[in-house]
Amino acid sequence: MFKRFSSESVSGQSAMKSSQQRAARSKIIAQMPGIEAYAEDFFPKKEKTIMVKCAGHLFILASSGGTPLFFQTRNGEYFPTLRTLHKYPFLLPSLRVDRGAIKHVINGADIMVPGLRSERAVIESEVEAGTPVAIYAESKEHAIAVGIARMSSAEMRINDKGIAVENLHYVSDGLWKCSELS
Amino acid sequence: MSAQPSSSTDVATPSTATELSPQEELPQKPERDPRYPLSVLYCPVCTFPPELHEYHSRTHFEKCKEWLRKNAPQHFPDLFPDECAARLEALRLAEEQGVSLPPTTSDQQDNNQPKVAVPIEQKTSGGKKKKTPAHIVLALGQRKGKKQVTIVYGLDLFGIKLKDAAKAAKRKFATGSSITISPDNRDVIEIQGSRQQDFAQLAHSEWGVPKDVIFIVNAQKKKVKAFP
Repeated sequence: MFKRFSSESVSGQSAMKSSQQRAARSKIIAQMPGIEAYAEDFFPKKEKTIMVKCAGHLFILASSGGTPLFFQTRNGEYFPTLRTLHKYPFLLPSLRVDRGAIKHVINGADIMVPGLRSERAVIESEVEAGTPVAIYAESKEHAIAVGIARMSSAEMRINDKGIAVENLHYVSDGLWKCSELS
Repeated sequence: MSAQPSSSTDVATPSTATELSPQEELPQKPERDPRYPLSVLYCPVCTFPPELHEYHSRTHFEKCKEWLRKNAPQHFPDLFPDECAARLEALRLAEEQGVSLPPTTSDQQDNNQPKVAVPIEQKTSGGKKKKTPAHIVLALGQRKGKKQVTIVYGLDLFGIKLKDAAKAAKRKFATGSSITISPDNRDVIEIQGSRQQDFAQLAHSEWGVPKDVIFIVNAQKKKVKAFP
């Protein structure tokens, strides 16, 4: 999704209205309940959050300094960016892939079932199909990708091939490189 | 953005929302864990967290090596055995005393060094290094009547954001200053009035542009050094 993303993909940006901001805030809290105590970090009262509109019905919520915090397509779920997730690792349910998968995942590949079923991989939380998940890696501390589950964790245990998680945002992709949208 | 249609979230979120609403009289502030936000170390060279460096290409890794040796040797026991041991020891001690590790010394050194703007190497699509001379050229342009403007070429080659530079000039000289596009299609800054010498000073002091790459176009249309 962000493979070819750059600051040129931005088609417009504006400060969010306070009502918009409230709606986004409550939706994010509903979606990731763990965030509630920290919501102030993302939506400070004094500053406006910036809504960055990009090609392909993509919206990025950025702090007033231009740091991307969350992204969303159309009116769907909010996903934290990886840098946000590194700071607040509890935001998303996590799946841990084995070592062999890492290099493909940080190149943008989707997460396949075998990468999650191997002995060294862990399905750390139960997920439903269609929910945002964080992808961690064996013996690594930080998340390496954010994606949307294509099957539930129960199905991941049963199937032995196919896409388990669609990779949306990974370390080294365009959004990662845009640590600040001016 | 409109409110979320409840049908699309069957992820247990609507239920929690409804459960919470009767308790609204006694609002419970969720506890903050002081550990968050975590501060995560990223390599300044390639932006990766140190632990993911082994998945880089070899050439890439070489560039980051020095920084890794100083800042995150614990992830590379094979490469830097001595530093790794020392670092792990320090981490263990820090944990025993219950304090977080102080920021690494090398960062502080960097802060003490004066800022120096380095010309950015431009690459063409073929991957070959393009040779544009990284110079800052200050020319004068005429406006209506006797009015003059200073045109600054080449600031972008030093990685200076034109927007910031224009703002700085506005503040410093209390004149109008803006980003425009020159006839040869380069982004330039236009400052009202004759500010060649002044801007040369500003570029040197504010962004650390070396003196010998700042040039002035004089009355004879010749490019001369701003700091002879």
